[in-house]
Amino acid sequence: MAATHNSGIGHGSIGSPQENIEEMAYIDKVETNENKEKKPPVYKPIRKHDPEHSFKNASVNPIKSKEEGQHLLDTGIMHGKQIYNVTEDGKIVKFQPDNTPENGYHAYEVSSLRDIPSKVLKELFNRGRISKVQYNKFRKGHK
Amino acid sequence: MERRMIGNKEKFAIEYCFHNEEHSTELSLFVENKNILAFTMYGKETTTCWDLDELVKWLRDFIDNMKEDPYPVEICEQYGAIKDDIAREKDFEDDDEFDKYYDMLDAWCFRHRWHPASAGGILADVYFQQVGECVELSWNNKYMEDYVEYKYIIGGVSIPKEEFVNVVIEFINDYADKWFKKTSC
Repeated sequence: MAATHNSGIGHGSIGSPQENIEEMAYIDKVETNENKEKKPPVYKPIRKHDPEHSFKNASVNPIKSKEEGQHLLDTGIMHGKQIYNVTEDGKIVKFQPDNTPENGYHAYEVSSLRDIPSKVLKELFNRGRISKVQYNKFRKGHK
Repeated sequence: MERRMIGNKEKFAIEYCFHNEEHSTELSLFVENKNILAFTMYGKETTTCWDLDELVKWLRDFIDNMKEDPYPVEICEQYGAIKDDIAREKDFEDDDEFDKYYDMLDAWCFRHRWHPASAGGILADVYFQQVGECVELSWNNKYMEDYVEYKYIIGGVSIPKEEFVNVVIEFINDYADKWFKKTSC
């Protein structure tokens, strides 16, 4: 018997075809919540992404210290739930919320540059965090 | 931790195993007897093993919205991943033209590439595209992490649509039973 389509899974997740609409709606929600309830984002690295831990299935976090991580988080570019920034050695990192009461975020290096939303790349370029040459290369998905 | 296989490895199959302790699922995607998700990291060959909630939602969306959606640029190659690789070599003198062109490619990729849903796990860059009564799976791992060596770099296969849908839906349903039942997803 053929499988049915009734999995009960919600639609419009990050990375889905509906990403832009969902994310714009989410930004409104986050901004509202942040103003009323949420604490400022706090950098909370997790063991899974620690290169010293050598977890064999996780993208590596290249951020070297808590201070660097907090600075990158504070000055990052928000897109949907995620925050993006560039490390001192030119690696693009993505911060993911842990959905904890203290508003913790963990980070890892973006493994495929094609995953970075174009609006984020444009903003990184506009703020001088990446050069024009890097912008063009990254938009092509090249390192 | 029971390992389960859906489909036929010689054509198209999904093999998976749920790991309760970290809400992770070990996943292999077989075409022509090759696990196209296989990679080596820190000297050990392995496959994707991560929280796949976002990935499964992406697959659900892909199946629900699946229709003929040709690659937006004419390229004399069969598979989406290879077309995308070639199309992204193009340069423009004009910045607006450059952005418009790459926005167009990115919009198509968001509908056909599952990698943005990797959620921080190691995942091969696979493209999915309906072409007639088949679904084409193609992959391009040329521009991924420096510390990961993917077993299959670039390529593609064509699978009958019904076979693809049946295997993927059965996996999605089993995954939802395991991980989504207690939530309101």
